[in-house]
Amino acid sequence: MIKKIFKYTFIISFTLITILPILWLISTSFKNPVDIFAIPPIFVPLKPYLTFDHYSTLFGEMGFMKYIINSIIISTSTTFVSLIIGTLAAYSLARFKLPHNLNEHLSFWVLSTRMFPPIVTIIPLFAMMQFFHLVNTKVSLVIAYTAFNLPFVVWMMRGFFIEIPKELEEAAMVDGSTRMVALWKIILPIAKSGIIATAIFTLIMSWNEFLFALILTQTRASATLPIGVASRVTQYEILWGQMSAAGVITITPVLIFAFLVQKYLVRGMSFGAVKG
Amino acid sequence: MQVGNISKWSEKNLKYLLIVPTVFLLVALTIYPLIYAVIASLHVINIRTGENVFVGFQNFIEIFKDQYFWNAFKNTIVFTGVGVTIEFTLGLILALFLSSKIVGRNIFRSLLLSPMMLPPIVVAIIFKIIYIPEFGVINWFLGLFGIRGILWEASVHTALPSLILVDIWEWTPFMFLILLAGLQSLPLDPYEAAVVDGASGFQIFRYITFPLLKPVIVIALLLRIMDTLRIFDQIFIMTGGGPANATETLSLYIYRHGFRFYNIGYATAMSFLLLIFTVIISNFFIRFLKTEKVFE
Amino acid sequence: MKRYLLSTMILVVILSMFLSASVLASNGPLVLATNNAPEGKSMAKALEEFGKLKNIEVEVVEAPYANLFEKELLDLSKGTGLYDIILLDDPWFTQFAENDWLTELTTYFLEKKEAGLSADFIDKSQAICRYPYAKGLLYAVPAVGNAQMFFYRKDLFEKYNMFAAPATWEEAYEVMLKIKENEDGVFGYVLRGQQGNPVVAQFMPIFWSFNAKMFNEDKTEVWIDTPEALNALNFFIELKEISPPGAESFNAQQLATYMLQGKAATTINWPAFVPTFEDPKQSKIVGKIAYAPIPSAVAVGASEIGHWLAAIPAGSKNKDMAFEFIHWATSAEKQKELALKWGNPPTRKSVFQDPELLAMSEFRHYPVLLQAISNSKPRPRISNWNEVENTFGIHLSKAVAGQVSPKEALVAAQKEVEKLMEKAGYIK
Repeated sequence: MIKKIFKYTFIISFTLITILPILWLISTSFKNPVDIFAIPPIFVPLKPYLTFDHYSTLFGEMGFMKYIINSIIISTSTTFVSLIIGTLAAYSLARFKLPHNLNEHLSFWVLSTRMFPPIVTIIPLFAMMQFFHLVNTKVSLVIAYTAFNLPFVVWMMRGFFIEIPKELEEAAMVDGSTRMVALWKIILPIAKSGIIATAIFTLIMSWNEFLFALILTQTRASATLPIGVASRVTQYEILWGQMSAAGVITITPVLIFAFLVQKYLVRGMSFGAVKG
Repeated sequence: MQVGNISKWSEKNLKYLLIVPTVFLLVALTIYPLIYAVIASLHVINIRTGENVFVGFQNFIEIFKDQYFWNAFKNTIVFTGVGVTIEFTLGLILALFLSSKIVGRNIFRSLLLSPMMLPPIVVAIIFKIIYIPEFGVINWFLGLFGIRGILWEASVHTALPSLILVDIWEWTPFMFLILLAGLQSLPLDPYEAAVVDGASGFQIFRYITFPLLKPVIVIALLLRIMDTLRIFDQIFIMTGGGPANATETLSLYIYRHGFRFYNIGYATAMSFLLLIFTVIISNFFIRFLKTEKVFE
Repeated sequence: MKRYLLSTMILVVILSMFLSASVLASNGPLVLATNNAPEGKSMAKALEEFGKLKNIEVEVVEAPYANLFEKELLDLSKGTGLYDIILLDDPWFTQFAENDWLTELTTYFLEKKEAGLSADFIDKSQAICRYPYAKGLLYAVPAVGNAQMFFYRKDLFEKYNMFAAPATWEEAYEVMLKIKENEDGVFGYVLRGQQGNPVVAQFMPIFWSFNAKMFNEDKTEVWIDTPEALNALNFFIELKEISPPGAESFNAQQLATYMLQGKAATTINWPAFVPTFEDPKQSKIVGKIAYAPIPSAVAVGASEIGHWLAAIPAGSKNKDMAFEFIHWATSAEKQKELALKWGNPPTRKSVFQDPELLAMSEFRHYPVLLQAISNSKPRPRISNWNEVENTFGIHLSKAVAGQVSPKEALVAAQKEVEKLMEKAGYIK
């Protein structure tokens, strides 16, 4: 009994610590600037404290819609591209025996590219994008994020494929399908929750990324939401309200999305990758 | 005839064809920058004339004599060591609790996972608002219990712990997720046997769960260590490395030299060292994985 | 196999779509890179108006102060030519001009039958647009007339019997101390102590009013570890003691929050704060603030000049139109309009003395600001200022946080700045 009470107390208090800061952000975004630091704090801003000014400024004057659209385009394209490319590579690494023990070397090498501090790659990357006239385009970010996400995708997917018995597609191939058809029709459906989990991570990573976006994008034509949020962290204005509102706009889609697919996340992760 | 030949050829070389796009992209976006970094790290750009001079290993020699580099290195190690350890411990406890039968399990799970979905920059803003001394809600709350005057990221003594706390808040959920997933994929048989033998809860954990979970634990630690060693966004927004260099990490120091002081050679030389350090640590973990037969 | 070919084809199509879209999109508009603070905003608004006037496409890149420098540095040093007009903070100017990254402007003025910058621009504002300082070629036009002022709570100062603006630090400090001791929850001063640019910007006016200097005239000697500098730093720490706890990490935002909530009596900062302090939606101290020049100590108080300059990158492909804009936006008429609409501090004497503006209460600080700019000092004109400032800032930050004594901080800063000056070739 005591154990049970302890368990629930721990879980509930930890959950509170987890969500209260987020709720505080939301509440701040609806307050008049002068009330944000009122003491005692105003927890739920009702009239006369309630204001929608911060949001109307962001969507009006600041053109936040543009950032949202950019972020959606960039993160979905990245997810799509890196899942296709990464899955194919992972399949090959998991199923075929490559000469010279290449399987292991390649797998390790792919993973090791994730150890690169982004700071190392960013200046040469800028030079490269400039060479191809890609600076300040959405493509530049899709390419950079794909490379950034690939190691993760390959590694996760490889784990899933190793988990699935070879016999399944061999049976299909005996029946006359090619390997690719077997992969498409038999293997991928089995790995569905794993693929979804991988996609979620890729999506979140590209939705949240800041440093590459900061350097590679310049104008609203290609800048993403985190850049929009950062643009509200100003030097001489006190935009706590706008900052919070920008934060809320950025996190709402992710949180809703994550809530919807939460079950795939745990199921997908427990299937394969983490078990190896 | 061509069509047939091509498809036969591609079927035969399928295993390579499938990997080519990945390898190509990774080579273009990591190997090229790496070569660039190696070359840049052997040069010094004159800030007044823009002249690029080859200096050999001088940058590296200076780094070893640079007290600020060592300070940043120390902070990075402390940040990673303390942060990841606490994240792991809390994540494991949560995962153990939530893998058992609990009322409202799915709700708790969804809520607990939310911080890791947020952009680090938004997390930084949240805690900036909460931490601000005098007006921040957290000090008001502690004040109710008679605790006053904690300065959080504003004081030399509490700045680093305050930032680690933010990291723990954001990334414990990630540990929790991976460990929970790991727990749920464990085979049931050993547990049944143990229950029949009358083992206690702790014994079950110590002798069954923990050994089975080891590979998952190693992967969770590896991923978090790799990411924490290069932490940047939150610190950049929250303290910029201050006060008095108390929160300066390697990424921040590299960034400052590369982008603000225009010492690109020095910055790349340092990032090179950071990379080597990360590879050594990761290798240690991967070696461990190999002995566990995870990484075939 | 077909599936594989199909997915590859889809991929190629998607990528090429993006590529073509990007190539098509990369031509044309007049691009301005600017700070996302109020000063930058007024220029951005002006550019939009200019675009409509000339019927051309314009684009504004707004970045936070901390990132604007990096963006401009990357563009300038690689010669990308992404920006046609950049707004730059004046301490960056030396590096940009010395590396030939900016366009020399005299020829453009000559085309307009003007000899160069109009004499209407304040002398100190003109001087920082030339490389070398005051005497060399013209690479920029002063766009935003920032210089620090001493902000103080007139009502509180009057309560403690000080009815005129404090002329010296001594008399100011006496009142500040009384306020801190007698007014519940109000601090005497609020110090901007965040490591890096903030703490140095905050320290310089005090440094100068104690007659200290960082370098000798030709930058071959470092003068940080001097008795004058030590007096200045000791006083700086006294100011910290009457500031709110945690001041060693404060930047402008925390500073303003303390002032706006009525929790601090004085501070030194830029005029960009004035509209915020006078806005009842944000401020609890509307009408209670007065503005004064920096008080004196042993030397006459001097503020740090912190203008935003408009310049044309050497790599710009739209130089004529860019100059056209800069010329238009810094005209007396336009500066007055920007001041009225967006509170942008001007750089022309005629605008500062405009009777219509002076009659309005929002512009009651203009005579003080004009005086502040005219008596201001620039940060040392060196290319490696960012690195020197950072190093100096670390030691100031340590002294303010009480980790080292003021003397130790200055000794260490002296040594390290000397090394930096050697590296950059100033000290041979």
